Amino acid sequence: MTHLAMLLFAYAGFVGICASMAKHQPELLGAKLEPVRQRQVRWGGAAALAAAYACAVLADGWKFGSVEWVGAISLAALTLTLVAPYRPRQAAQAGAGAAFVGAMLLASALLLSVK
Amino acid sequence: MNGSFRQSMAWLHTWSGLLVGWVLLAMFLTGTATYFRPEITRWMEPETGMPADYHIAAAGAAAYLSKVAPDAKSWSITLPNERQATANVSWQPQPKPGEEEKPRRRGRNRDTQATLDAVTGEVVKPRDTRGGEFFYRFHFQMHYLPVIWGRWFAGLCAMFMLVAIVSGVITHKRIFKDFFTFRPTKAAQRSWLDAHNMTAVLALPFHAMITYTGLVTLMALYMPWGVLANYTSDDAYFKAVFPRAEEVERSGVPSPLAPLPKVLDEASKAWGGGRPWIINVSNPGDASARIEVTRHSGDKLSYRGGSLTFDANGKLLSRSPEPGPANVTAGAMYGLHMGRFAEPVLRWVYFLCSLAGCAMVGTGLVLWSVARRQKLPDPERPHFGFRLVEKLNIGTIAGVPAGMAAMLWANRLLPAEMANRSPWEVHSMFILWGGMILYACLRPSKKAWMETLGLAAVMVAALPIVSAVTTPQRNLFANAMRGDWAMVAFDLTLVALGALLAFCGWKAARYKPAAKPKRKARATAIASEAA
Repeated sequence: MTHLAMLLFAYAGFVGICASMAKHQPELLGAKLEPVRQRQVRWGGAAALAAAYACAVLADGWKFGSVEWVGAISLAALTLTLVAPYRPRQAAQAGAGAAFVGAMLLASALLLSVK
Repeated sequence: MNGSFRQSMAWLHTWSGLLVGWVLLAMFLTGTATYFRPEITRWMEPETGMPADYHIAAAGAAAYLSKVAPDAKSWSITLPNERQATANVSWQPQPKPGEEEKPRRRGRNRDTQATLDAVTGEVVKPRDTRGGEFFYRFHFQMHYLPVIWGRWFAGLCAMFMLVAIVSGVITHKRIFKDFFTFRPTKAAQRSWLDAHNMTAVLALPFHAMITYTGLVTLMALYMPWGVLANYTSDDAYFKAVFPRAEEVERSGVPSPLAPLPKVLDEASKAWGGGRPWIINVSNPGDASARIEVTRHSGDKLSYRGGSLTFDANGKLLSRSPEPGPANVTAGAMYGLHMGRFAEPVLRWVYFLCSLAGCAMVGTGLVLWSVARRQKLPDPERPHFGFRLVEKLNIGTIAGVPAGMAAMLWANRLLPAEMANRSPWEVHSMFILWGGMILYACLRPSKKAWMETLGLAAVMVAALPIVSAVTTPQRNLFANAMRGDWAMVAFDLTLVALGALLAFCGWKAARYKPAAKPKRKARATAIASEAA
């Protein structure tokens, strides 16, 4: 479960970072962002990547987790870059969805481990 | 950065990548397959059953060995695990009096080894095949070459790869600006460059890691001076790196061996739940027997898990010494390269990153000719060098996957009792690869791309059917009914890879080389960037 959350967060993170780049905004979002909003999106993306790292460490400890995280963000970036030219809006929306589902998965994994 | 410096790096990147690119592609593809080495071996040995816990196999192995080799000098048992369906046992007979003791050889001596089923613990006789082991061996020591030469050659290619990676990063002008850029609908050269950049940059941590650690795994061969300066002999070095239990003289007092499953439980407890992997028993059946249990290489990040030594009654005698920092570092790099610790999710991540690496090498090779085609004086009649690269590209990019598939075809189609069966399985890979290159030379390039990729796609995707027809117990449905999900996934992955090759073939069929560019200035600008 935390593995899936890691992959979802990694994808959401790169959607955030990609959407914060002016050259990709017209396709992904349909409009340019305000500078303030742009910064928020970028930090949101970075936070999602950090959350992915947290998931990886939670699942397998910091040694294996670090390896996993590097692999996961590589795959997430590849997926986004491959999909974005064909379905830009959906790719961006999927990022928001991925962050939401990832957060739910992480939360339930944490709740289960507390019990 | 200085423009001419970047240009010289671009030159270096182009030529270091091209010169050994075809070998690198073959190394990358077979290396990628190696992440599923046990699964490939299981696929290629359809006589074997399901993976199982090691307890039954350990008991079966002890029973078998005490029957066929009760007075051997030593036994060795490689245990099955959740990915491996067999235990492999071998033994070393007592040296005859007066006979010089032969050094232990890794080679296969069919008289002193056997394969046991993990579920029943009984002997099975799988067909003669090298299984996934061949791809593993090929990716760092080639084939048809003396092993040492092959390793030197593989190392040379890996070094070229490392040079290409570093110079490629320097050459790439907008590594962050173009981070997510992929324009598949733009002009051919543009989209090939994007694809090359994307597969290279986004999986760069993997590519750099795999190339560097790959070189490190054979560092003692490439740079022997540290070992030469500090150890009196190779033996002394190996003893220090891989400490082994002291050899004990046979006492002559017979004594039954402690039950191995119990010893393994002890070992697992001592490791805090770690998995045993290999058992070495010296002087079996004697009171001086020693049971050495080596830990599974995937339990830790470091590949070297250490071992425990028990006496004939199953009492823990000693642990292998804690490895020093250099040894741990080397072990961790080795471990990172092999990814043996990777549970299914991470193993797939490894596999997909590695496929991205194949795509990086492949797109790089194609880019070389795409970038040059427009600059040719007469694109209809290219010069020899251009034609050579193009034909080798076609023959290798389509030929290696097709060749690997051919090996699996041969595995199912060659008669089981054929002499030299496993060598011929291997030959079939090279025959097909070579045949593809030859075929590419005889056909116009565009047709050759379509046809070779099409054939490769069919050969890969049809493997589940070949398997279902020739080995009914291994059809998709039977695998699923048995709950053998690894083999189900194997077949589905073959279909997916076939589809990927078919997609490449379809792309090649639709490809139209750009007409003489009107906006010449811009084309040259792109070309110089690509070069």
